[in-house]
Amino acid sequence: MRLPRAFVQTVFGVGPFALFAVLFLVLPTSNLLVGAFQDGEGNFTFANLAGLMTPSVVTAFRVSITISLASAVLGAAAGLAVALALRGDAVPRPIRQAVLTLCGVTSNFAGVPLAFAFLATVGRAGLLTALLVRYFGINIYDGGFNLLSVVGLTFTYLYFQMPLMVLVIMPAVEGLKRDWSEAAAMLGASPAQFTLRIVAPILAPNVVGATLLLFANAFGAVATAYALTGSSINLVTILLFAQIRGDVLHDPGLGFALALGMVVVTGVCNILYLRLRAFSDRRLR
Amino acid sequence: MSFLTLQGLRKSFGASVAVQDFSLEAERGEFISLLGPSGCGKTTVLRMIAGFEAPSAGRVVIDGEDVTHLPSRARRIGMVFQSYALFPNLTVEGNIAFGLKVAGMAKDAIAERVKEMLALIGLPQLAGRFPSELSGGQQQRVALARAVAIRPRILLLDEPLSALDAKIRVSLREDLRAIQRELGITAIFVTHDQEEALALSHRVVVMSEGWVEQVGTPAEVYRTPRTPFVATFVGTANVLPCRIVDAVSGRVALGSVEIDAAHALPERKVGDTVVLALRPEAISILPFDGATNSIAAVVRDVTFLGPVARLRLVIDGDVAVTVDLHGEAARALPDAGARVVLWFRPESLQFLDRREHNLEAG
Repeated sequence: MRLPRAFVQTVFGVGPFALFAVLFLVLPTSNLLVGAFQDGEGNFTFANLAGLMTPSVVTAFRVSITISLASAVLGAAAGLAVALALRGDAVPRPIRQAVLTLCGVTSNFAGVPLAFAFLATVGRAGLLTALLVRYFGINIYDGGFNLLSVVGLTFTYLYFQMPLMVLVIMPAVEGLKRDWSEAAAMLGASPAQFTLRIVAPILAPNVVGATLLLFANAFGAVATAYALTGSSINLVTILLFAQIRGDVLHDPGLGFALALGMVVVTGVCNILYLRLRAFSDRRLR
Repeated sequence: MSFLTLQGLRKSFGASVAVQDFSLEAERGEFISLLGPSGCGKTTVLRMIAGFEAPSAGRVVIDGEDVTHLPSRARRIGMVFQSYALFPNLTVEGNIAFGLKVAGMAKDAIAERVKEMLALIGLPQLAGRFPSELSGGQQQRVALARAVAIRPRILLLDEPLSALDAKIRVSLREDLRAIQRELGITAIFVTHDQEEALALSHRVVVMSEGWVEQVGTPAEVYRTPRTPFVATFVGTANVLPCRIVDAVSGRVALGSVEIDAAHALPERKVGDTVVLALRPEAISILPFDGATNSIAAVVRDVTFLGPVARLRLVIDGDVAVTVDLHGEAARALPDAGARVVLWFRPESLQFLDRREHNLEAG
């Protein structure tokens, strides 16, 4: 029996991705789901989940959520502003393309290189820090800024959060039709009234959805935070790293529980993002 | 004094000139169509009236007020877009009420006006639906209601029927005409569809390459086209280059065949070249030869189009002619290659000017 050509094409097209998803998403997630409810001997237990209620873990979640939320909201606001500025014919096409390409690169620029770049730029002995002191007499560290703090880490995360927002929100911004603004103008609306009554409600589901995506992105970040602050800031990802790397905090059971907690947080964010995006697509159809 | 005056409008985009010296006077309640192919400048004229494009030269005057430099929102003009341009986040009711809300109208008055508009477009049951839940025809009706809800001085219609399928287009066309006449609003309608323009308008402005080719009632534009462009764009026409044989009687030669055009041409002399238009439906096939303006022809092909049969023929060896036969005449059609005799009334021939511009469309 000959298989239909379309079926064969689908299998060959989707097959590798499905295999990848099974090996690197489904199996690890299933493994950590099981591990979160097992003790060292493989017996069923709630002790690992109970460990999530210990003060240090609660603090880690609180700090992670604070940094993720701050970097998501600030990144979303800045990214939205850039996307709106790039919309339509306001910016020459080559510049627009260059900015979007740059966003594509910087949204994936994280970990040790990013940490080093920020240390070299706005660290205590960073180039920008030194230039500000030399030419303007401003020492940002005297003003309370510290790169190796929650604020500093949030600031660093913005480097990849903002361009990610630009890339995620750009299709929705591009979807704003010129006819809408012209129709509103014909009906007597000022630009502010049009923005408030039409643009904001249309973009709101996409902006909220994209902000959730940014939140999940920051929540799962570990390399940048670890490279920049070591273990001086108590983040869930750093705590999780400590449980599995085999030092004094070694507790694989708690590690499984922490990972499960992260899956739940990022999973909820992603589901909400997809639902909001579907709602927006349906409305704009 | 005219209600809408467009005076010497010109629009250029860099080196390219989209509209050349466009003038038009429209009366209150008049329905005028700007008809022409893509890129002829008709939409640019509309956008200059709307205030979306600033004219490079000329003035826009509405009811005695020069609005040339007023922003769109201050012109009190309604506009219906080809893409409907309904706000997707608002319901039908919300869309119709939008202009009234930004104008600060009282809630009760808004509700009353929305109800009135929904009744006008015949969709009172869809007030709570979102645009994505409506068909194209329904969306365009709502767009029309939204545009007229603010009681605009002028209604601009930018190819509002183009995105709809044929059946809906005809039905909405009739509704559009009825609503415009009921409200007595001055309307400027942009279209590339000559049938729409002829069916809806009091007057038609035919445009080509930024220039006005002809302005007139639908019957004038169809029956007495002034230029070869109008003759061929509005309906189908045989455009026949001829030589004058007798300027007084209007006798001309089409190749080696002499025909009577029944128009005295005192300003022309014998041997001058003139261009004549002859509508395909003005030509008959005769069973005999010898009548005035009867010409021998050879049938090249025959196409049956339902209510009409279209014949392509050749006269005098190389002059191509199209003939449309209707009714009984289309029952017994000649075969390709057959020799037939064509005949037309002298008054069916229309002398065409060389292209004339700067027409005052008053």
